[in-house]
Amino acid sequence: MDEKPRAGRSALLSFKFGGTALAGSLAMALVAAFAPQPVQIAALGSCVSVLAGLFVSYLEQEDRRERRRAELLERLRVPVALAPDHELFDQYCVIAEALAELARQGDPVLREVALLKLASLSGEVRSLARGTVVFSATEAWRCVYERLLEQPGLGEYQSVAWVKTRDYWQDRPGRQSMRVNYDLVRRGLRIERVLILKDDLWPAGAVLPSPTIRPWVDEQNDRGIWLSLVRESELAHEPDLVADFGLYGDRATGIQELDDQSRTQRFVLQFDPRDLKLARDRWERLSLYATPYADLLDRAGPGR
Amino acid sequence: MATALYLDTARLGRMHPSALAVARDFDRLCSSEGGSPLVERLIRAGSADWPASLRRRYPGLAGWGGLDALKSSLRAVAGVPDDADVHLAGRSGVLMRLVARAMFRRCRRALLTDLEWPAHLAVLESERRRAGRAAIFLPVRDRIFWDGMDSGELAATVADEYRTRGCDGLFLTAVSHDGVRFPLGDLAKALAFLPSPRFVAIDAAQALGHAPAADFPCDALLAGGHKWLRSGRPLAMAFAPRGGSRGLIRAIAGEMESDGELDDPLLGMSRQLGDGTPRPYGATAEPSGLLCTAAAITGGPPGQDGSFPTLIENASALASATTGWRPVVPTSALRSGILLLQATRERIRDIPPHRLRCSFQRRGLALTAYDGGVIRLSMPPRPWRDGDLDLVRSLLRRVQ
Repeated sequence: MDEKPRAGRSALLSFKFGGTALAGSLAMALVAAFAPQPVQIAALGSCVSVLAGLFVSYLEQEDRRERRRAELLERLRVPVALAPDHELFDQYCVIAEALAELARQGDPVLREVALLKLASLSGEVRSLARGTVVFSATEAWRCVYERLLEQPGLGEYQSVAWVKTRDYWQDRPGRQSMRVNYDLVRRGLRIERVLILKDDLWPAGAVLPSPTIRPWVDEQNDRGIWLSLVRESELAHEPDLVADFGLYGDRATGIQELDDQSRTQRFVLQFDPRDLKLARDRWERLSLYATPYADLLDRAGPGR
Repeated sequence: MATALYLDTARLGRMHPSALAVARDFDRLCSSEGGSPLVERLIRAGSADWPASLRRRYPGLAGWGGLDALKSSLRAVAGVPDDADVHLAGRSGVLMRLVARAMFRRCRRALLTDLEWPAHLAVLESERRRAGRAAIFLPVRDRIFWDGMDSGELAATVADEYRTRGCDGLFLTAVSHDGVRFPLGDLAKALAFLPSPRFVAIDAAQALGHAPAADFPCDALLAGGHKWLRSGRPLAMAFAPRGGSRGLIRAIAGEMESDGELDDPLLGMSRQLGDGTPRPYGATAEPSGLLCTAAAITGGPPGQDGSFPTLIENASALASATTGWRPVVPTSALRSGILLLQATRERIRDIPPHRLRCSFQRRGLALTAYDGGVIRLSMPPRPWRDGDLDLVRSLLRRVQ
């Protein structure tokens, strides 16, 4: 078993110090006894110079050591910050170990491909860190959307649906999301939705939207979703308002991009308060153009 | 002593003679037919296709035109559109819950006043909690009765509270149980330049058949046939006048029915007869309220158009009489055919309401009594007959 130096023991009591000091003192004693005075002074001067040199180089080494220690601590800061969050820390460890393993791979092609993929991955992680989640060409976003809506304490969900075709949210995932909406309304969530309708779905001059989408619209109104409608053409001067987006209380905002067949191309979920504020401003501006569907039904009168 | 003068519609108006004739014949029919398909068919489709023998045997039922005809006549009495939905039930509480649920499903914050019937306020509070919404409670009663708040001021106060507190729903009572006729027309004007409420419910239980229908768009109108319409048999009704809310109320009724919350046999029966969809077996309904209400309407309900001024005049005549009872009345535009009088003597004020009511009953006068020696009298629909006013005055003087 190695003997560890006892902490706090004075350097003056060490053999190295004692031996060196004794040898130096003996050499100087011999010089003082046998050498003339100028030699004694020269010997003393060179000893002092050697000591000064040693001290300066020690300081330099200590400075380098300090910088290396700071760099090391800086690298350790991330795992230390992550340590309390076990789930993230575990992911960090997995990634760090995988990177270390990757560093040992020698193939240059593998390395090149890996670096490309890692650049994309780190971009995605940076985006997540800013509170943005992007789903591309998948309906998997609906799982997150439904989980968000089911969060306790979320009292209100405001949604804008840009309805370009009669197929909007009519596929199986869309119908499932509508069922979740209805269920949550029953459980107390207040849902408000603005429908931006293409003019062929709500012709100018018609009080109510076209019969092709009326059942979907009526169903939402009857289930307690507060609907307001606006024609897309009425927003021609406010193109930034024409979008599919939602506000999940004060938690997050989501933007959906659909293709011509009303299939999801991209869904971006943003948790950053600044994005939320922008979405709220957009919602309020859009509300100025929209007419409550209940009022339209009143205007339509009997036999609508 | 038997009642000489019936001035009480707080619970049950005195049964209309036409309703009484129907009730008698319906009871006779049920005593021989029970709940046979003949009775079911009568309730659904009326007696138009009955053979002459049945018509002769039950002449009181000859005017019954079926459920749809009843709904049409109720719409006309309530002053709602011809295509308004009508939900009928044996108890008003279940319809109140349906309406409260619809209101709090739509609204973030609803405005209520202390003119509302306390039982309705309790239902509103429970549904508000259930939905996690807010309610603003505006006390106005004392200002109406003691500070002389007039109709314009009342409407402006409610509209101002609605606007400043960010409300989007309203629950109002057309005529309160203590006789304040809410100025709905003035409120409609005061709200004209504000975003329209997402849901307005009006309790017209004391207004239907009493005061003219107000021109105030609402999503739900609650009423009853057994108070001023004088059906004699309880019948509660909820109208859905606005096209934009009918589907919502229907959907919530469906949800409540499937959850077993619409525990009113008559409501279940009328829904089944209305849409023809068979429902699971429930409790047995007592449908005579439907037929009696129809008969009471046909027989001529008081309070429509011409008779409302008579009710007001009758109340004024009684209020101005020297009786030892002090009238507790709002300003003229807020008055109705319900008159409150308060005992001037401390001793009478300390009498519990039920004892006070009984002491009048012993002398032949049916009325309602409240705490603090306050009595409520519902005015007769025709001018005071000779002797009636003197009788009331003398009875009031005797209970002192």
